[in-house]
Amino acid sequence: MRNVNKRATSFKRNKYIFVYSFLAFAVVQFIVFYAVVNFNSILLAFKEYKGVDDAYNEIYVWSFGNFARMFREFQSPNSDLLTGFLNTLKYFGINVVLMIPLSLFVAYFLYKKIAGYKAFRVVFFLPSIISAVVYVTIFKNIISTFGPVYTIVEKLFGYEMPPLLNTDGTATPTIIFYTVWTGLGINMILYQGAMNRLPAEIIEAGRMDGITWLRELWSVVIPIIWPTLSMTVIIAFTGLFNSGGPVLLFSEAGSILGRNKTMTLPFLIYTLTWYGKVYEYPAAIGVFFTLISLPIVLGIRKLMSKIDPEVEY
Amino acid sequence: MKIKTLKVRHPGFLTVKIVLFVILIVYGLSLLAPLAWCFLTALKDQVEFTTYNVNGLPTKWLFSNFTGAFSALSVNGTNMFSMTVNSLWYALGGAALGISVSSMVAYVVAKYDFPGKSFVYMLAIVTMMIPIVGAMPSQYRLYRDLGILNTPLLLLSFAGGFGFNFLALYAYFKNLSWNFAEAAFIDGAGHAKTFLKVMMPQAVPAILALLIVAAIGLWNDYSGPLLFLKSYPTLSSGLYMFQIMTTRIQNIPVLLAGVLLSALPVVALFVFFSGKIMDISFGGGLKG
Repeated sequence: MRNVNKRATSFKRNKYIFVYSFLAFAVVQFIVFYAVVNFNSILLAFKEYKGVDDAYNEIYVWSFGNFARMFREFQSPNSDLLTGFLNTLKYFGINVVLMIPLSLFVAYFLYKKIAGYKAFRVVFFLPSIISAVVYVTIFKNIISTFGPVYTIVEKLFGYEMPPLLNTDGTATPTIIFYTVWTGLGINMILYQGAMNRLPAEIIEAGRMDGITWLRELWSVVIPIIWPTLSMTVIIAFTGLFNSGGPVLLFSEAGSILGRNKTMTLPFLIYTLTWYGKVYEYPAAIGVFFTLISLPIVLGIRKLMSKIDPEVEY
Repeated sequence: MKIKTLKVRHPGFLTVKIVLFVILIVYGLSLLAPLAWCFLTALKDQVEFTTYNVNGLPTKWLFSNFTGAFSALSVNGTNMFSMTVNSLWYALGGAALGISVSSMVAYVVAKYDFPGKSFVYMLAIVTMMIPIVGAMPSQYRLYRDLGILNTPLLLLSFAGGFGFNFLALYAYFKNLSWNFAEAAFIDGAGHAKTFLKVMMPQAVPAILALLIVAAIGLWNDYSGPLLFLKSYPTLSSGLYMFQIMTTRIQNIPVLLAGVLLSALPVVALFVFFSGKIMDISFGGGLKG
């Protein structure tokens, strides 16, 4: 009996040793690469570089200078910050207003087994799996002057296409078009996965009642797949200020990054870090927009759970 | 048992279906045609492509462009062959580390009771909800201070245990029966041995699928290597850098050949595992 008890105690002790040793690495990794990184972002945001001392040590002082600079730049109509902010809102808006409904619509028809639905599923998903470097390189060549689209349009309509990526008015719309064109696959697969789990009896009952397909989509399918749909909306809102296309890949050799008013917020932070001269200012931009998006994300979560029709099936 | 149901169509549905079918065909072709154009162009001679043959078939099929790409596309002395090696360790190493750590954490949280368990789970959920914007400046500074910037040790940053992979594996382990483990304990196996020899083998399909998805993500990642691994260009970051550093690209067909080659492993994986990849990425979660 004593032996059994001893074995049980040692088994329990070993259990804790096992559990905590399995967690140890992940916890340390989390502290360093998540907690420290993000805490350090906040510290950086409130620091200002003041040159070097006699021993060439960098001097930093605590200040709101980075935020003051940010608000100044916001007021200047041609600043990268303002352009980036406005463009980011455009990408976000297009995602929520156009891409999510469009992928839902297409997913519904794939779920309804439209002819060739299996092939469509794979083809539409392809750009999500192939590197953006590949697709953007091809896309840039295709729309370039004297490229295939240019020559076809000129032959058919006698119209000489302008260099879309080299003009202020068309550069961002072109990249947004690219983002929509290649970006429908992910949500589509997600919605279709949810629709495939719909109970057949409910769909059948609606059909027997003679409801239209639009009614079926709106009143039967959407309420039932609501958890999936609201999750994608929440994800979109969580990424609000991280919205933007692969702007970096669209930049040309020898040109300024973000030219032709293609700047976005994440790209601005990325380029400032890339140039590597200042880290404090981009950190402040990041911290500021993280703070703004927190209540937005919490609000949209609350709203989504309120709309939830609590389907029972 | 399959129940046979009466087929009743929605009024007017067929017309909508036909119209949409045509639209989807056009959209699908618009996604495939550029790849086909790229392949045909990659086989052309540069002079032929730039002077008279933009859209037609190549007059001479230069498969040598594909082999030539390996030496011609080079960035700061790193050619495409070395980029492939970099892509391999970056994608496979990062994915393997991330999935290993996630599966360890997911396993103990799903299967054991211990003080702090619910805190660990909450931590995973909450951190995924916080919309962090622009951590890059801070990451850059930290990686530099830790001495992992621009070294393969950077992969440590992917060895996290609390992200999407954790949640997927947590749900998977939760559904695995604990009976086998109990039998193993009775036979005298320890916790670690039970994990490795009894439980992990049952999770292999799920882990492999997550590994493929994670590896594809890292293979395609260009912004990370561009910023943090400047001396180790991967295929994604290297082929972009080649375009940005060469003011006048001499041979576009060779560039396109290289670009296509860089996507080949991913396309091959997708061909074999398309259903699984789509399920895992976004569909109904993990199925054994």
